[in-house]
Amino acid sequence: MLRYIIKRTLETILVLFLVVTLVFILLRGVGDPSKLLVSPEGSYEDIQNIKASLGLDKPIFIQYTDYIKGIVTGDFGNSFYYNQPVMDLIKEQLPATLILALVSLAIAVPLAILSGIIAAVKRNTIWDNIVTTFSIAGRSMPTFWLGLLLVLIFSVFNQILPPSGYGSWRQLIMPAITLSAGLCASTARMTRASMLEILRQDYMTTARAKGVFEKKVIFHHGLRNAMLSVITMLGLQIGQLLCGSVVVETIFAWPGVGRLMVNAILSYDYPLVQASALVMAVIFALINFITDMLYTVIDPRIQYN
Amino acid sequence: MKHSKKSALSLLLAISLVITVFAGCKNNNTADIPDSSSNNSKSVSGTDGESVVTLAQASDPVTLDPHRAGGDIGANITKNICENLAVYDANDKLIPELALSWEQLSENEWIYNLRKDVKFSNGEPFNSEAVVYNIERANSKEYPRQAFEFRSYYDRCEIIDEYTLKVFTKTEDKLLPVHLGDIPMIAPKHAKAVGEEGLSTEVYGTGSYVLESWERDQQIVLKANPNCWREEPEVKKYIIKTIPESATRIAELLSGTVDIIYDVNFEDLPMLEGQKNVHIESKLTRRIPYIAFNTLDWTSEKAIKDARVRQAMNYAVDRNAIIQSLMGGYAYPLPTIYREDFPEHDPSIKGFEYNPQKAKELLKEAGYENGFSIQCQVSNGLLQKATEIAQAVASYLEAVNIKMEVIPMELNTMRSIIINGQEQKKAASTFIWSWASKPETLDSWLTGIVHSSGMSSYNAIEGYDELVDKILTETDPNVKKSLYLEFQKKLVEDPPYIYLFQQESIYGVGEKLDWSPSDYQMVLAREMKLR
Repeated sequence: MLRYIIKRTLETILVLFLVVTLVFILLRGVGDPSKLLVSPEGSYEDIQNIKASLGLDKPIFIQYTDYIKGIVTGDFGNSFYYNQPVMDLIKEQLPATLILALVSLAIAVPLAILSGIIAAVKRNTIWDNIVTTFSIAGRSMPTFWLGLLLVLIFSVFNQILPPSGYGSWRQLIMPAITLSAGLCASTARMTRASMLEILRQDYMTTARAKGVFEKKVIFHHGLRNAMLSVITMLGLQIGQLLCGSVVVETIFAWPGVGRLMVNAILSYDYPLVQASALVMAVIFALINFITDMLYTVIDPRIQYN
Repeated sequence: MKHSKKSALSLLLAISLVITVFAGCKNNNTADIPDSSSNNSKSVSGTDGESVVTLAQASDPVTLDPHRAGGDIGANITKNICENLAVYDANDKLIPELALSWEQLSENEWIYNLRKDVKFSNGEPFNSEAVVYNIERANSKEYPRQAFEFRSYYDRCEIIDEYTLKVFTKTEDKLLPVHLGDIPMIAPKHAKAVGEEGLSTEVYGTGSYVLESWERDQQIVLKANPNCWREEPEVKKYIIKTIPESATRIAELLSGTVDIIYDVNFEDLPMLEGQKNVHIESKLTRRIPYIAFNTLDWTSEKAIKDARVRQAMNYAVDRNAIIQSLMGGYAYPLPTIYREDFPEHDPSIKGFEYNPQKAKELLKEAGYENGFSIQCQVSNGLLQKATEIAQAVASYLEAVNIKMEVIPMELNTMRSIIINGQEQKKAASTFIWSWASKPETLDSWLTGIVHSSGMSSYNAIEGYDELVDKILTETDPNVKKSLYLEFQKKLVEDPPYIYLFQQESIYGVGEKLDWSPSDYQMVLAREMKLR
């Protein structure tokens, strides 16, 4: 196992290096931030001054080596736009994203797994139809539409919840429901499909024949096997959630990393985009690693040695 | 044993997941998260009896350093904190603010007398030394958004006494008071102490408000400055919330949790117009959008090099119909780009009325009665409904056989194509652009978009460069007057643009607030009254 962990760590470092390099090269290809920082009514000289002050007048190879040296020493540079250390900006926004992601997960995952199991076990009944209808609706409703609908119902027509903002639990309700809707729907459908597959297996019949209680048959023998595909999907979804949801953050004025990164991309804020990409790559790498480890817990047949 | 090993591994994984998740917030705790629920109660009268007004805007300011903020959303906030030597009044006349008076002593020498009753909100004195610090800082190449207008001719300052100073210029420029008046005054000692990074989040000025807090991407809270030289404002607390989605801003205004929203979208106006608890305010801005003709040599379409074709395209477009149908009537049909406050504005110049028949005749005369095809680059980020406006223009042009393909693009992509992009040759044969300047001065228009060397100029039409050079260098007032008139006539005879309109800013204001905008895109809380 230790050997596997070391191997994975080295692989992750290589991936991160490639991500950093790729983002560095791609960014330099898309546009020139000095043109966006200068006043439209400014002059040529102003553009040159900005380039010099941002270090963009240096040869690209020197810029790259400076950047890599910075990363190694923990200096990710200052944002072109905000003139502040980029890691401080990301750290400032990350808690809001994490709170929203965790609450959405806490709503979506138990609800989705439970309803997926019910739909599978009670296949072709009214319960199955309800779950299927809601999961199709959850998947089909665009996030921005659901978000604005909630604002209209709960803030404008009935002033029950604040329309936007961050800080109190009341402000968390609508963004969390909006964000969890899609996740809940797809997880419920995946759980139902996997459970249906598992319920048809011979070992389930054997378990029942042995006289095992139905609950145990479903949760211990069925769910555990069905969870492999669900966990794979959840791992990817959690990664996305932790990287912020631009749409939900925009509608509900939620100060998360998604908006920060999109704004950074739009304004060609090289250091901020590079650091955000690195942080997100690290998050994805960790989530993938944890998912892989969870496989061994759920299915002992999976070994990494 | 095997089971407990698995449980331990599960626990370890669960802990590592939690650690991963919270890794980013080790320096933050829940106490740092503001409980803004109090702000969600009806905002005009605060819960503690203070009068609170809340404004919602689309984005967070980049910085609170007013010398860096330039004309963006940050300036709207810093104007409440910092003041200038001079400001424009409601009639666009330059009046003293922190200066008492100024006078031109000789060609290159000006004298400024300062107010004596002013202190910065952190207690630092406002005096000649502070003014010199601010002028020098704004003039530094580090702050290109601030001082681009006077850097070329500013020379130095000389302190005469605590409240008097002289400003020397390298060449004469009558606009010095306008350009110096544009520099917000910040507390020098504090600025030196906190440095560049510190100033971007914490600034002290002499204005009616001081910064209380800034939670990035959430809200900025200003409170009344008890040491301000002005009369105490009625609004004691001014909260500026960042709400990117326009529908959410409207929901906040309608539910009474926000008192002012600005840059209201035209399509959102019907939602506000029918509401009892909200009224709409508008203010003519100094910004003028236009469709520029790319007449540089490499342009794909040669037809637009002919003045008659450019005139025809202006005659073909019904601008009034566009203003009424797309802009809800919130725009002013300016005949050209020459604003009414510009020097020697000639009201007899009427520009182009909607006359498709005349357009067809001109096109026939130029040999283009069968039309031609052009492209038009637009960005809705630059101008609300730019794409729809361009499509409307395209449909008018189609009636005179000109096919205009509209190419919508993201704002920053468009900026990088147009600004200083003449050598990249990516600009289409036409594009929607806009320009603004201070009242009564069009120099930045002439150098920026009219002269072929301008950073956003694609105008190679014969005669403009010579005329602009003459206007900029002429010192005899009578000759200059005739040059201004000549320029206005040339804009009609040989138009470098399809003229559109002068923009208006639209605000949604809650019922409890008595306020109307006094200045273009500036919301000053000290001017607000509660009903």
